[in-house]
Amino acid sequence: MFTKKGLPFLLAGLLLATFPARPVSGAQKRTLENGLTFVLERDMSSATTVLQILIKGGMRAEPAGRAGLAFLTTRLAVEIPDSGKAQELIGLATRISIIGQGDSSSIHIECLSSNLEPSLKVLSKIFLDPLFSGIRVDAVKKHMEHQCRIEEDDSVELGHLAALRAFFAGSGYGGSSHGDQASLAAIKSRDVSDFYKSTFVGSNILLCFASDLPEETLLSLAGRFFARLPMGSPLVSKPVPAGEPEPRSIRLERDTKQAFVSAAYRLPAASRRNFALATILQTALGKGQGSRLWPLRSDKKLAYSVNCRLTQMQEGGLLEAYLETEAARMEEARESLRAVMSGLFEAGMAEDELLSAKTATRADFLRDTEAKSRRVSTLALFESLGMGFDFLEVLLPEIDGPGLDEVNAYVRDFLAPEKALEVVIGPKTEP
Amino acid sequence: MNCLKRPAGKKTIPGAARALPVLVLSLGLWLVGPLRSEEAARYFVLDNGLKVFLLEKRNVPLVNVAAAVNLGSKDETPETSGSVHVLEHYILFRGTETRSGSDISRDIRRHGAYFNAHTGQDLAFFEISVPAASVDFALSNQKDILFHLKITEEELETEKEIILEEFRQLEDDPFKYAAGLAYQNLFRGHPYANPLIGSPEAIKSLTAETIASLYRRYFVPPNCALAVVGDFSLQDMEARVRQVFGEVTGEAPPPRDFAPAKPPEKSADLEVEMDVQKAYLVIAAPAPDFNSPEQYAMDVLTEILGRGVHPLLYSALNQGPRKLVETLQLAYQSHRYGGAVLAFLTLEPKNLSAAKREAVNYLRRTRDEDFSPQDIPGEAQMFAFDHLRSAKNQLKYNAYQAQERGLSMAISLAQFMILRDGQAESRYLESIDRVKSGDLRGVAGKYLGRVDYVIVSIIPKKTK
Repeated sequence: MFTKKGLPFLLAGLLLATFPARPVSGAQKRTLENGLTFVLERDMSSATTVLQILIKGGMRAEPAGRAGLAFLTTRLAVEIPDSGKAQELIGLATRISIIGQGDSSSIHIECLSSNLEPSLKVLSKIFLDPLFSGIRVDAVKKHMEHQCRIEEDDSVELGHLAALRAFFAGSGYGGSSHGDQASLAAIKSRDVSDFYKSTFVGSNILLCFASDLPEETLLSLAGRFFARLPMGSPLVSKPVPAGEPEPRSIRLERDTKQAFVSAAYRLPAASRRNFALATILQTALGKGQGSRLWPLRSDKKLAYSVNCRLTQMQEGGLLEAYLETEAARMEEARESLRAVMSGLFEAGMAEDELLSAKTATRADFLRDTEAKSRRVSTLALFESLGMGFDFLEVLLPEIDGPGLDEVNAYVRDFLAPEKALEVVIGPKTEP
Repeated sequence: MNCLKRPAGKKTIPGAARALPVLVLSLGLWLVGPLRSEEAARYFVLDNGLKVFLLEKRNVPLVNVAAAVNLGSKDETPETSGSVHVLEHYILFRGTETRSGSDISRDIRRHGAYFNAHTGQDLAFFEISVPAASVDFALSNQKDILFHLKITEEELETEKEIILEEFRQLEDDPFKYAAGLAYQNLFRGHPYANPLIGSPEAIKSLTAETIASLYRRYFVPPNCALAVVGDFSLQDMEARVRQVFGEVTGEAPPPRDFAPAKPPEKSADLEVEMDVQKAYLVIAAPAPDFNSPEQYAMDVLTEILGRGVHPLLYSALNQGPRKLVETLQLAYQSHRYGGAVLAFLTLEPKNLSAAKREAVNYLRRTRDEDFSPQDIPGEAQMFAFDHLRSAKNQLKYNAYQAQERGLSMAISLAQFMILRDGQAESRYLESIDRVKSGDLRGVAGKYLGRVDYVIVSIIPKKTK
């Protein structure tokens, strides 16, 4: 392909890709006879298909003391017992991953479009008739326990989980989708089977596609392979208690070179407007150069990493502003972070800051949803949050919507200093 | 070494995490799309020597600009260890002749740009992605930082302190730290052993003059390549690039040549304690370089051994009731003068010794594996799994998927223009298609069968 003869070697003999515009109409939604929701965004940019099978409920639907059940059940629903069939799937180069979230769990499938049909043939068979034997349940539980420890080996993840637990204790939102040692030990095969029967029903499942294949083909495949799902009833999730953490500070010890310092805030339930406001705030606070947190790095030299993380769930959200700093400067970092947050609360955002934050937020969304895989995840997330998959189409103008007064009212409502939860993780320090 | 920050919620697996864009795209996989046009791309060289590649990608209103500079950790000495990374930071954050660092930050924000840089063994990269309406800003910003930097002692000292924070962060990241140690031992005696981030002592002693001299010598058009991918017309973009970059001048630096990296002369088995609950294991072996014809077989072999669902190495370590590892991923990283295969594993600390032994034993035996039913005589052939076909499908998927991200494509193209020596005539997927089982056994024998391995384990502190 690339010759050394002549300057235009990069062009000689190339197969050059063109990238047709993303369809303006965006994703289309259909409902199958068994209540199954089908969403497709046609995307001709590559001969690949991404499918996310989203099962509503997620961690929030788990019975008390059974954290991890949603992830475990979903994982077992694609755990193929027949080694021949498993090898068939491997041969097709079909990738499968499981995502556990507050309001849903998902099976994320990526494959060559030419291999979609045989992949669905293998996967749907086990999905519709999974095997929940004790041995299989135990094997996946063991893996989940391992993943819990891996999460805890990372201070950023550990801090995130600590904040979720503090704000959402008593609801499924309050912890890792992998559960914990005690909850996993409590889960029996019967729990898995019951959870499957109540949540893996047509009216509770969304098939979300991004593909170069035509809608008729995908609808036909969905009908062929998932029509056997019973319609069932849509899940009615438990309300999430409006608890406030007490005390407002968490200190976890890790013998690390750096300390993790965060300020976390509970945000309101998901709505299109709230989501737009939260993402603007996230960008303004901690996304890259020019953000409110940035001077902690560029001027105060406190950190290599400053960041702001938004976790939006249907009944509430979590905003974390954080930095990782030299352990010896932990106190200075705490003070500096408090100053940034109280500065924002007291003075609010300025007009030009809001304008820049909106521009940056819009551009970030374009980049984040450029590839099919992330776009499907975003469509499915919006649907599971109750905002509708089509929010993606209007997200950019929605970000433009809130004016300065509305944004600052939001800041005053949710970022008051007394509402902050401080999480500090690092080496033991002298009192 | 990525200069902005790691995203929240992702475990950093150097190499493995970056393997797809670096490995896949570096090989020109963006060319395999099913939808083609002879008008979609253009390559040219400006009179000042700057290589330019333009590629239209019009499905998203973004423009992505990536510059590669032929300067990496390979160009450092023990005295200047970490200097390229420091310079890269300085360029990104500390200001030019006309704008301060905070001016640049404000501009980046105002234009909705993603702005970042990376230092590698061979090259340094500077990338920006903007909404299409801000294309002029993106081009002029890149020219400004790449060719009009203003280096002061005061700003340098500030950035050095931030890099020391990055160093501490690295020391808390099991896989990143282990991979760094693996490289230092795998390439011992070769410039690729130079740590990308340098050493704290060397960083502290760097002066503004050292950094400025590096900048003056290497940040010149003939030593750089620029790739632009996104929502524009070729004709318009060529005119803009010529206008913005055409006026820059500078002499090419003296040619540098490096010997090919040799396999390590002896094995290494290092253990480092961290405050972790699980064990993190990195196993490294040499691999073909960026231009080697063996790269295709190594790509396929890496896929078979350590990617996707139940790869062979994972299966070998988890046979029957014995389960030695929980997660495993293999990455193949190719550089101009050598390459590396790295296996990243997580496991129970009690299984560490057995996992190390079994993994290396299995990798050494890979040269005897049957990868395809054609390797197996008789009726058994009917029941044999076709690993070769599976891996080729995986790589095909990677290739298609790689087309979807404009910025990754731009980075790859920039890298390609500098590192590729142009001797290969084949197309990537066609080369992958031509790989046979025997080729896999060949590279397995050469690179995994008779070499000494470098093993780095991160284990829980004994006091825990």
